[in-house]
Amino acid sequence: MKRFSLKYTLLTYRLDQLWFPLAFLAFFIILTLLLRNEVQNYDIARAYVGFAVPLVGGFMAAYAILDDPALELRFATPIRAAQILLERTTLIFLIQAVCANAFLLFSLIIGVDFSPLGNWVNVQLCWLLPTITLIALGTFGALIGAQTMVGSFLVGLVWFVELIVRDGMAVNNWKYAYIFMSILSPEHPDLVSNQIALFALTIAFLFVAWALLRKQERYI
Amino acid sequence: MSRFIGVFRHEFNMSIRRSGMWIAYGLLFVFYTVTVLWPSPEESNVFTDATLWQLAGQLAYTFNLFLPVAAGILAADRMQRDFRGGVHELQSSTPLSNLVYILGKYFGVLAASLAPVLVWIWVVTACLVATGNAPINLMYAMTVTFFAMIVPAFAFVIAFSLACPLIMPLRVYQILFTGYWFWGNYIPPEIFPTLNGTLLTAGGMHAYQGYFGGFHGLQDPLTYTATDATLNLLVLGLCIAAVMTVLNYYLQWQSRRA
Repeated sequence: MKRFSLKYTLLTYRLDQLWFPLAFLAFFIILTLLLRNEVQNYDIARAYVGFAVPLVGGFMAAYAILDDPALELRFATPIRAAQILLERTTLIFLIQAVCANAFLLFSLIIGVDFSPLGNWVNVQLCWLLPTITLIALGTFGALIGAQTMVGSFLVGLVWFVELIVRDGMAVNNWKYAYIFMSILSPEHPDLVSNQIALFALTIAFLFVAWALLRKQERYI
Repeated sequence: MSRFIGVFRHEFNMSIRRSGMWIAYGLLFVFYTVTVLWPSPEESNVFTDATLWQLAGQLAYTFNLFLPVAAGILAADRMQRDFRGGVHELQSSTPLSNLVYILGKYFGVLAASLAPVLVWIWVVTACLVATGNAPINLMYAMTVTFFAMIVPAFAFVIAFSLACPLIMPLRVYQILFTGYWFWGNYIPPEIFPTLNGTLLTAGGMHAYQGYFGGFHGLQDPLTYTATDATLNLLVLGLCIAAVMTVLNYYLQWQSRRA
């Protein structure tokens, strides 16, 4: 019975979780090809992997668990909360990972130089950390508010606020929660601390989300 | 008219009671209250009669950074839920016309989104006045800037938030909307092609510069005049009317298909 879960996920999969990230990817590729500007190519690549991919991942995650018409039936099966959480968020993460790396590959092919961001691992961390943080935040928000809308709002707000006040975020204690530090301030002396803090925050959000998901009566 | 009032009242009551809205507004209100009442030394401004309108406009412009994002995201499911829950089929069997339904829904959501903001602005302004940090005229100035800058921004985003999720998945709209608000209002046009700087800008910069004098102490000449600000409000109003009209045709088409 428990093994049936993945099949269920695929059968009930919302296609917009797939076509929308791909459409976004295609849009940024077309935009890059249209502008044909070396300086802007780098900026567009940063904008896509550093900002667009985390935003899409976060919003998708807010709807991942609770936006299921058969939620009550699903809760009636002996599937563990951790398994539901993992299978729903992992799928979203994998799609974002494929999109981010496809765009990085495309950028490398057209000659974009990512050396200002550091080595290959650092470039990967530029999209990976904000994406997992917003995915965890979206899931946590939806579950704590028992509404997908709360998760969406938290993702949208954090993304927007951190983008607007990015200079302020990098200079005080908020720097540890600054999700765009890897992409916007790769030279920052506290970058490693920031990355560790974001990872810890992700784990904390997912842990609380797991604890909340165990109280199934909250969502029925 | 009684039908419009009925839809309006019902939508207002539903929207204003949403816990999600109060959580969202609560977070933003706390953030803004702290920054307005206890600004950092370099950001603190002295409200005098000479600078009153500029500083009131600056506050309204600052509120427009984040509050319409929350309102747009939260309003996105208000009309779609009627379709998803099958309520619209019941409504279409009543003598309620599509236009009355749309207008009642729109103004209900708009009023429910704006009412907490207006009350909170009055409370914060009253605190500033009571502590002697601003003259009593600030109450009037903040109310005027609320109607000139915040109401148009909310009216614009809520119109799209009601209509767009009917033709695309809710989460897709919310992603596009959040990205749009940053791209269309805050990216300088010199850096990247954007709607910012055009008459379609909804962030309130046109009204802020055109009606209230722009940022206090800034030496650069103002980019927008009062005429630009009025044109901006007219264009936003036309966009809202266009969205409502298209939505009306869309619902009529849906009714014919059913």
